[in-house]
Amino acid sequence: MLIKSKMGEYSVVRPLTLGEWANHYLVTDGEGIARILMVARRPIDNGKVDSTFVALEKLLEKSDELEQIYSETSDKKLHYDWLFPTVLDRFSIASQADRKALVLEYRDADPREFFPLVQVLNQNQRLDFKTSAWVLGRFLKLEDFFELADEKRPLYLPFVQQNILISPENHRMMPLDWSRITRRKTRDQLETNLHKEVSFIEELINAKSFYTLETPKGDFRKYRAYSASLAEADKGYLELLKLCHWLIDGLDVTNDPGGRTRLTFDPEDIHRKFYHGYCCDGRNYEGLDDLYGREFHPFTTLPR
Amino acid sequence: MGRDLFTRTSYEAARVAHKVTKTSHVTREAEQKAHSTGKLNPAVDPAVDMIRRSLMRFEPKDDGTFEVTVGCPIPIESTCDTTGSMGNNVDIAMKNFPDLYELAAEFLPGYDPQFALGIFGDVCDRFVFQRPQFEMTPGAIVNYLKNMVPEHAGGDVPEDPHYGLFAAAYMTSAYANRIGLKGYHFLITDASAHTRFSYDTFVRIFGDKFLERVHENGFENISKESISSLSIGEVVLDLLKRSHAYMIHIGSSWGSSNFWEQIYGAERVVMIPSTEYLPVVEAAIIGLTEGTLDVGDLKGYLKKHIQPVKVVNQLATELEKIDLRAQEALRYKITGDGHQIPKAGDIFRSKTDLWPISDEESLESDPSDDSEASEKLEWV
Repeated sequence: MLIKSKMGEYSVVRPLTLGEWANHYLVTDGEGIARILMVARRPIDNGKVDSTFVALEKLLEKSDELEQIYSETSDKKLHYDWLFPTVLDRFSIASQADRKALVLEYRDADPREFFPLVQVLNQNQRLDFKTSAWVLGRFLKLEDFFELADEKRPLYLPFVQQNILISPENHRMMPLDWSRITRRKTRDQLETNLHKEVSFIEELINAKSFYTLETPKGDFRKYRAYSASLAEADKGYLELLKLCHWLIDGLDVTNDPGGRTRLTFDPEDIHRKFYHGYCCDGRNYEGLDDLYGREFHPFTTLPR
Repeated sequence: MGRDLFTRTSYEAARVAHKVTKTSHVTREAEQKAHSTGKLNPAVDPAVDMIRRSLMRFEPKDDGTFEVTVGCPIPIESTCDTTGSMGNNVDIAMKNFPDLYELAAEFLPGYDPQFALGIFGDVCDRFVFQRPQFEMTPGAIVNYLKNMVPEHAGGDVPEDPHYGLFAAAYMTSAYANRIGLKGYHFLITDASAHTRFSYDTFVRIFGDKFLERVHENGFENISKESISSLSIGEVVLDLLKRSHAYMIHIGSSWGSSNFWEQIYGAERVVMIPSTEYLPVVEAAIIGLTEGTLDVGDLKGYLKKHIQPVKVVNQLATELEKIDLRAQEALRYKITGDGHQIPKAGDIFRSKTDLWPISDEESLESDPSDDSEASEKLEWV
């Protein structure tokens, strides 16, 4: 099927998700480049697509702004713009009840390289520690970016397992269905989301063997096998994930066996502690650096 | 009810006829009268004919049926602070009304926008709340604006706009609501509010028969006893069932805007730097909600009407977050049920009917044709 807008034509390759408010399709544009087409499910969902457009534009604007700030003190790049798609085209499909549509691009990535992470669970397989660590790092970076993008009214994308795409080659992780994005109403929503994200990672590494994943291109790839016996560092990693839950709860005395006092936190703080560990009440808590000897490079976030 | 449409010329003529050609102190005569009599003019007294109605305008036909003269009525109500620094808001409303009407009507094609621009003071003031009927003709609008009695002074915090919110939620009867659409309500203030209600204050504002009218209007669960436990948040939740309701916060007081965000939700609190921008902001909210102003065109629209780029950017950020196309979604639901929004020229059998005769006939025809056709279409 060919979908036309004023800017171009998009050939539908295959559906990706049929969501509550929007459907997503893998399409190719006139030059054969793969894109994601997001279409309101029904005309009454047009507002959701418009809100998605506003949110993604705002994220892009903020990402550029933060990149500019960071470039004044660093040669590195923040690459917050790798966490969300950018809108290339926006139009109504006149022949289909004027439903609103967005054409989305993943910066520096081919959407055909991404696959739904939930496939790992569906096939009763496992994710290796290294991959799981960067997926969690990306989650924390995304939540941190939402806080940075609008401190007063942060954006909020409820975590749903089925919505997560990854591309292991270039360490990319991205939610597919952005029509769920809204404004965060309470701090609890952030905490709940973070808990779900860490739990998802725990679930992903608690399976049995190596994993084979199908990309949207339709090919199957085999990723690293995992030894049945846990190395000491890997045992420590599982402890680190537990620690993440405590950090999300702000080390509330009711949740923390150490009975320590409640600490303030934000996603960036957890992100930093996840990689570098931290010291509290005279005790050292190991991060990925300690466990794997700097094998993991933390994702760059704006220093505060 | 006629077929008069608003024009800037007719509005200016109405101002001349009502002797309110000045730009300030347009309410001076009403204030003096209220001071001597202790009473409000019936045009703005919430106790007079308590339920505010937004109805279709018809012209009777020889065969006993009724023809719609303008279109589906859309009630647009505001409850505006007139205490302290907000004391000259009626002057501003009188001056800016032609802008408000024209800008709003642009985004309501085929509809009949009807305005009830009310004001509030404090419970310690003589008049806590003033609310006109929904009006659409220049003469009636000028008449109610000139008869308002703004408090000017006072302005202690928190304030008392919540009686106005109660009236908007439970003392309104609108045709738009009956067919599944919503009207618009704008609370305009620069301060936070008390959160609880007093029965005695209700009686002061509306008279001792107010609960009977509220019950007749369909809210039988509200009683003298329940009023004491009623909160402003519950009232706003009920108001949202009938209106696209927004709190327009004048100025940038973090404390009070945070207060209102807890009540309305952050997406329904719109911060603006000055009342000067109210007509454009209210119209933009209507346009974005109706889907007649695309959010991609919002900045261009604001630039057309507002000079300072900083203000344009600030307002765009505030307005982009609202519930986009919410009224359009309701319209789709109505058309999905096989109805059409009534328009000028439609014929009603009776003034109290919900739908025009033509709509009834189309519903009687076999609707399966359309659904079969739509199933044949291949959609992404």
